Amino acid sequence: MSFPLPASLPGRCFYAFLAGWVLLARPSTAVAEEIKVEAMLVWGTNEDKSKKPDHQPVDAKTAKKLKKIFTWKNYFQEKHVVTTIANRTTKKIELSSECTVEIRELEGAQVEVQLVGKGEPVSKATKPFTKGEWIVIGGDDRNECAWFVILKRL
Amino acid sequence: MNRDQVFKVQAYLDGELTRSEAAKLEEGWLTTEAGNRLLEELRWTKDVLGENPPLQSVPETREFYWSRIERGIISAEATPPRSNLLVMDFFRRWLAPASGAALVCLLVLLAIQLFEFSPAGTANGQLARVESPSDAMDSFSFENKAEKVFVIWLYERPSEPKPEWNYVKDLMIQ
Repeated sequence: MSFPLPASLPGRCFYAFLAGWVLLARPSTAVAEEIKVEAMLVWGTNEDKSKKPDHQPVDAKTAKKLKKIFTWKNYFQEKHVVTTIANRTTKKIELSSECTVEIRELEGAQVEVQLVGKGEPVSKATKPFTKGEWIVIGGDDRNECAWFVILKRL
Repeated sequence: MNRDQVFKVQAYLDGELTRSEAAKLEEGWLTTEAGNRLLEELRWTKDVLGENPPLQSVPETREFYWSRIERGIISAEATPPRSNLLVMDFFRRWLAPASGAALVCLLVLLAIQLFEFSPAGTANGQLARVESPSDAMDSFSFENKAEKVFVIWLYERPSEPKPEWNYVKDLMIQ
């Protein structure tokens, strides 16, 4: 059985375009990429200074964004890590002695983020993670403070 | 005498009425003086016009008249196709397939936009799935689309008070 080719030039161009699209478009969806992620452990407080002397204020851009979403006045950074996660692998990032975050790169530009606190998994999220997007896992702490694990897709 | 009566008499004279209508008219209004007079006037007018048809005068001779029509037919057959026909033909042969291809290109671009580069997976139905594996902690999540921030907020799961035995007993089937 032979495929009927159109006789006219525009018709042939049209079929060539369709064939090219089918051949070229499919592999592009299958090719996965490694993702670059910035992870931060941040404390939010209404105090002007953090109680821990090694805490540094977060950069202005991060602080501005956090202030748009949350109510705390100041944000201090405890740890800051930039890492790359290869295709279909899991990266474990230790942000403090009690807090670890595990990020797994999944199919379809998704990630699985698991937060482990004191050795126990406390939260697991699976979602698309595109460039420029943030995932923030947070919770209340004592003295009207809050902690944040901030993951930025670079 | 009204307009309908006049029309009816005209129709009667032209033989356009049914037999019953004609009989009704003959026995009715035509028996009156006005009706009879109108019928006579109309009949006279019809006779006069029928005997003297209007004269159609042709300014040219018969041969010249028909030769002019013949020349018109010959020249119309020899005229080349008009330019708008050429444009239509060009459109049908080239622009119509090209516009189809352009439409397909547009759809392909839209599909690529939707399925490969959609932010937060909202376009292709990929939504966030959040679980709280801990018994002690629970969470809620929300997305600030303007800032492109997805927030999972953890909190201690409230411990449920143990129900009173009497209350449980009431719920049970005796």
